[in-house]
Amino acid sequence: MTIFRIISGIALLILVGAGAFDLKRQRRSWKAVMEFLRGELKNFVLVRREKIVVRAGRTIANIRKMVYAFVVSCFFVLAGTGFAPILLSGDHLTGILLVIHVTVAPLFALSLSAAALLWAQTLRFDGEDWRVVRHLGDPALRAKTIRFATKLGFWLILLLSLPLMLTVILELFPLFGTEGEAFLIQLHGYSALFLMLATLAHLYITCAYAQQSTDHFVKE
Amino acid sequence: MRAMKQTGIVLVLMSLCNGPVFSQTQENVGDIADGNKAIPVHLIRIYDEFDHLIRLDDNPLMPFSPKQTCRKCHDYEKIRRGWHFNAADSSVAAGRRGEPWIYVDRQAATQIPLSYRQWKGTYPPSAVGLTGLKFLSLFGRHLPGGGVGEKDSAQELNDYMRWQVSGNLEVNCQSCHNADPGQSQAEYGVQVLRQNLRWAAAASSGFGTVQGSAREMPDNFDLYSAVPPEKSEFLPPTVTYNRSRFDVAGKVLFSLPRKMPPTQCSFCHSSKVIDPLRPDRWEAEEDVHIAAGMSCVDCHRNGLDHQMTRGYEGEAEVTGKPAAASLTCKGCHLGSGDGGVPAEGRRGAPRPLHLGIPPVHFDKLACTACHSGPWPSANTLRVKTSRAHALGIPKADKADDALPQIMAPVFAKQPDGTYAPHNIFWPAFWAYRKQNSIEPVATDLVRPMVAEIFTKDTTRTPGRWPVLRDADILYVLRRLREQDSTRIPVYISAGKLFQIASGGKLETLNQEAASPYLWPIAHDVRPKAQSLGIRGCTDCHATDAPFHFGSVVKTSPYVVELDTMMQMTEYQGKSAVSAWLFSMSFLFRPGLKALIILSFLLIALVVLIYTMRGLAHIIRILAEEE
Repeated sequence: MTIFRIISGIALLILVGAGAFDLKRQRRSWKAVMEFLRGELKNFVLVRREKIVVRAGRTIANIRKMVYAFVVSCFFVLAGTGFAPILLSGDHLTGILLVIHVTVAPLFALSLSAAALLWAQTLRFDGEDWRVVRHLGDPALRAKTIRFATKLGFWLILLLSLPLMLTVILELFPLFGTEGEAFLIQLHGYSALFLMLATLAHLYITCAYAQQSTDHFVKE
Repeated sequence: MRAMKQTGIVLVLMSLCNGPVFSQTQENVGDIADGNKAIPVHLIRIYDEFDHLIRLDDNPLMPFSPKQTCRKCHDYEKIRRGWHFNAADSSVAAGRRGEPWIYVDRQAATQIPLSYRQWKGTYPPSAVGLTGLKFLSLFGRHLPGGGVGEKDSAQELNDYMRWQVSGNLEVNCQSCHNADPGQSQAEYGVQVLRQNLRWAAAASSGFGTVQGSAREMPDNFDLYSAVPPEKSEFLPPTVTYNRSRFDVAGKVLFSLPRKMPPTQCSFCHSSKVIDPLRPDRWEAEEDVHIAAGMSCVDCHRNGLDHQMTRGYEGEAEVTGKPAAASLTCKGCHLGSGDGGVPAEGRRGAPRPLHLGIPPVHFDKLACTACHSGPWPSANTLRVKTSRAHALGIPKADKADDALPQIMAPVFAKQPDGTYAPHNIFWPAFWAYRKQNSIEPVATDLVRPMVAEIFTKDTTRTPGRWPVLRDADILYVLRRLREQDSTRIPVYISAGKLFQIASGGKLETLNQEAASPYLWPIAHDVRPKAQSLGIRGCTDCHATDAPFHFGSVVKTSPYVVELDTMMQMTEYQGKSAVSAWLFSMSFLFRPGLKALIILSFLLIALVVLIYTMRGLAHIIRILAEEE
């Protein structure tokens, strides 16, 4: 638990710190950074409030946005309830936090699978992505690189969610003994950590770099 | 002459060279193990308390003294500092809370936990006016002697003459070590109640019979003189030995196996659960370890110092004996993990699998939570214990509702943060209060005051507890205030403190001193198939599971609080709402599991499909390039 606590703490600090300094580099001042974050939050809240327009061609797009917003909300609840006791007190997840965690987790899983169905086709890798990989760092391909990064983030999230869910499923059945259960918990923790890092990075890239509507999930 | 001198010098040198070994062997021959696993035969002479050899034609015939008899080969001074005898020694670490001596005085509406050990929530016997001798008269029946029974500093000067008559209650080695079928701890108890302290060991040994009672003898009674005329109707305490047990050399054969059967320990360590579903003895189960053929001392081991291994987690740190960690539940079943040598599986202890149990349970629960004590039901059950209810002593109150009223199991939080099943009882006593300090009142003082209420009022139905109303409590408190106006008289009962308010009415306060006394249950250990959780999570995590929501019966003589119920969460440091919410979530767990499995399959399929499509694309590109 102590090692996991240290690793999670350091990884989260590095990611948040890197994001903050990168934003500062882009926006010049901390005040501008705060304004930007407020704007993104507002944008996100608006998505949640958006009504589904029952009109051919628009319905699916709105459902996509809603699902995306719901997944992100669930993600923050799960990350908060899962990591807060570990990072703050070094204790196991118990009590009311555990109740919230286990109640929201299936909703997250379900909405993530819905997101997978809704976004997989749009975010599949194609020839353009292969070009980006071959010419990584080329300033001419900046927009495509960002698009590639968001795609990579999406598929990473889906991939990491698999061990995350599998460990929970296996834990809930009387298949493993004490050591096995402890290993599954550990695996669940590390999967969650990597998923959290991937999601935060993905969200950051989406918010901070994706300027065109087609690049941005929410602004689509 | 020269040869004699040389022989003398050689003898002196030999004695100097062999001196230490020789003297050690001579002093404590029984304490030095040579590795032979056979059991030494104890065909030995017996000695009285003055270290005089006992011969059958002695007049008067003296009771044998375990101290003088056993110390010929064993270090009595070391043994008498062992766990069973050292309670009165303030330098000994008290360790985990254990069962106290519960002093019950029904006529004084009192039940109070006493102990010479510094266990939180207990009071020293002197607090209720019990001198060492009075303490032994009440509880010596279940003490193996030693401690206050032979500690001069614990013997009050006022009782000096009585001690001369009764003699000391020496450590009775036979209480634990005599496997003679005639060894009777019940007889020992009866003799202690008769104040025949120096005779108790002989009476219980199986080869001696003691008649008479020291209690009935006057303070100036002398062992070597006749009974004074004013006590002529009473027999003086005398011992008669079974002559057939002495051989021609005047030696007696003691049956002293190295490992005592559990029944030997059971006399003082039995408990009876009053379970309405299993009213008869044959319906109850015994500890799974005993059923498997083990004995108590397989785990509760000790060396010559008789520092018994109590077997609780953390004992090794308290006692400074690392080996104690290997004799806990975890120590035997999982191995203590120290020393780099595999240590688990002691006495063939199986390693538990605990399939599907999340590891957090092993941090939050003691092993006993799931495995020990009576299976929890909606209400706690009454428990009678050897020491609290004088079980095994002739004429002990055999009624199921005999005082003191102990309830179990209560799943309470221990100081180490784990939950474990506990016995619980609610102290009820009169005391004086000075700020937050509570000083119990001697029952001799308060008994006549309470008795006055009962003699005046003939409408009361006598029950197990005398029922006290507000007016009764006020009456006694006022009488106590008359005795000492410098302190506030209070009555503690049902977890509350009662005192006279400024307006003269009865005021109720919550005070720590009124808290119930809890001590952990270690035995009986149930088999795996009867462990909590065997039927699934809802054994504990259901909205009506006794683990969180069982009702603890709070017993008291106070009329308003008679048999009040409290919820188990009160003792767990958590809110009932949070426990209920958590339990409630288990109602939806099967559905939630299904949702997660469905989501997992969907995402896995999406990833698989697109991986396949990607692979197909790569294959196509490779084929085109070709």
